[in-house]
Amino acid sequence: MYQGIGVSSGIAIARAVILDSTDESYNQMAADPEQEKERFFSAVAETIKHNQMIFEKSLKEFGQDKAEIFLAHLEILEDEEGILEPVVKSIEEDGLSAEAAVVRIFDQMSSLFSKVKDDYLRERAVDFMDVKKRLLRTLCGVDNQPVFTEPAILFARDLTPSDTAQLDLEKVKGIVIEAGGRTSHTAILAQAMELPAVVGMCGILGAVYNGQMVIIDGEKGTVYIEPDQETVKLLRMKSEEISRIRKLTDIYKWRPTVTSDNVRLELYANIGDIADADKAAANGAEGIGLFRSEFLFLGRDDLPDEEEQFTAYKSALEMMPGKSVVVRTLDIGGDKDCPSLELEKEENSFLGLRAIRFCLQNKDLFMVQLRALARASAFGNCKVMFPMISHLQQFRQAKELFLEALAQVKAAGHPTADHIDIGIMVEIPSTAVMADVFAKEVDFFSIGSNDLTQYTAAVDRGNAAIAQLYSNYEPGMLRLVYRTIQCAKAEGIMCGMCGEAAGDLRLIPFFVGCGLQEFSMTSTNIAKCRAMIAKLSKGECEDLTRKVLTCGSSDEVLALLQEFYDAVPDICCEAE
Amino acid sequence: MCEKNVTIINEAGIHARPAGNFVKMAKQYQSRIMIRNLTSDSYPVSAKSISLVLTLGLTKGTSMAITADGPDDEEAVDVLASFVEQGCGE
Repeated sequence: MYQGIGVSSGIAIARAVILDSTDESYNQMAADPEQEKERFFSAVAETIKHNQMIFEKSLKEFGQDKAEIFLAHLEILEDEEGILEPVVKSIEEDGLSAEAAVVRIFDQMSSLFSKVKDDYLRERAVDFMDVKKRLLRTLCGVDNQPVFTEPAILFARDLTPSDTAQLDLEKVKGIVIEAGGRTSHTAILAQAMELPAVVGMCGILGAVYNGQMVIIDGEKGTVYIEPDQETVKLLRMKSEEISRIRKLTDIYKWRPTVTSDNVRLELYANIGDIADADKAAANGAEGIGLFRSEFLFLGRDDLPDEEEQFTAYKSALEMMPGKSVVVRTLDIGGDKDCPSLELEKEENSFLGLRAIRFCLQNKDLFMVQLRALARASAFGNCKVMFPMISHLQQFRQAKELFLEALAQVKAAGHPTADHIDIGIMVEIPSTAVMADVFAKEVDFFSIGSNDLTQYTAAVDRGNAAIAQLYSNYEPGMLRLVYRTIQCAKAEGIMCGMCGEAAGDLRLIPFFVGCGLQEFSMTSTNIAKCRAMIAKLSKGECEDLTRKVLTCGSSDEVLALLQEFYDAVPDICCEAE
Repeated sequence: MCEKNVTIINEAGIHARPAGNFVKMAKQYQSRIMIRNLTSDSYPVSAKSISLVLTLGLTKGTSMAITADGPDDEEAVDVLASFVEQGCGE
């Protein structure tokens, strides 16, 4: 087994085909400069045409973003001062052949690139080499695209982006490259093509022969050459599981979340930054149940101003048109690396000045965020949620501040939404116990199951000495969840959950039975959970919930949940 | 002759895509336009050559000088400077 860098996930099992990279041969000197110039320009014209074609193919298949690499190639081919003139000069003044002149100029460029300190920018040199190769091939009349007769895993010293973009995905099931890094265009393209790829495998070409059976794991970056039966079986199973889940995704992504007895629920996504919002929409999220606003504050010395925050919240809203986006206000404490906030190191930071407590004591900072949210509200269905609320007074204060921020931005002439729901995270036990009182004043609850468990059982998950006391199936926490949901129902307000438990297939039936309406999770779990919910009847879930609420330990709870889970028909057999 | 200094704001610096946009824009002007990486104190290179622009290693936070000389030099420098300040179309 060989280890490289996995840059595009997926498992491929096929026979090896090695890309022959014999160098094109040509003469260094040429007798007739005029003829060489003509050959050069005609090769440039043909390469431009070829690039235009690859650009259009990539645009259709991978989208604007990925296809633009090929536009940059076109620029290189039209670069008078940097490329075209120097090549012509070499031909005219030094009597070089077109090929030799091309090689000289491009290699000179390449050495200029090697001086660039930044890794990412230096890797862009690959774009140059792609154009150089292409020009050379055209000039030499060589086109060494391998021919595939059966499914193959392609091994190569290096693959240029245009080589990758042109691979016949019917035949090529995976690629292994000696050169290349995580950020290379080839890696990015392979991901867009959903082609398993491993790069950085220095020397692998010396270890593999054409026709050998190979398995690659594009996620782990491992390559097996002529693996034994055991390994083949294991990886084949893993591969089948991956495509099974992929098929699931395709079916359930765009369906609404409904139980088998027609109860409508909502599956939302938890996101940590704007890029996640895009993924959420692509994975079938019906909304965003938790937008962690901290990312705007972490890892920097300065604070994000109103404009910057407004732009971020607005972007998220625009990526989820017509759908709820719940933004949680700054939830941060002394345990996080946040130089911009100058937080004090506390003895007991989880019980200290963090989240809403910190914000209420730093009104100016808090108002910046609230104003940004008020302005963003005009661009979609924005909801505001306060974290770590432990006292009703805190909610009242925070709400008042938000309404003040709203008034301020309206006075400044900014458009805002007509109504904005203001809710709270239920993660502190006293809030869950007092949920009936809170439900009368807030617009919604979102249960933070992780922290609720930690606070309720007084267990620090991160403390190795007692971490085994933490359980997602803590009966005390589950009873508080049940209570919270009942109190929400009594006042007719929405109750959702954004902790890990919301995406746990074994707990979902319990929560459905409690009457939880919205489940917010990592976007990649949505399709799976939706598929399961489709097989559940709320009535049966309610029976389960009643039983679970009588359990005395997390082991008992898990046993009941497991039994129920095992009885649910296989969540992904048919395509309906 | 006209000159302006700007700072690169792009997260990943000026790589192929923004460089392509920048060069395309520079080519629209008649004037000779040169750019220089002030942070690394580089030699000036033509703003109309994507190859040369890319070798400057313009990462985020780098300071860059845009100089133009010709009939439309003022406009060129103004437009290009603000284009860079806004991220070269990214």
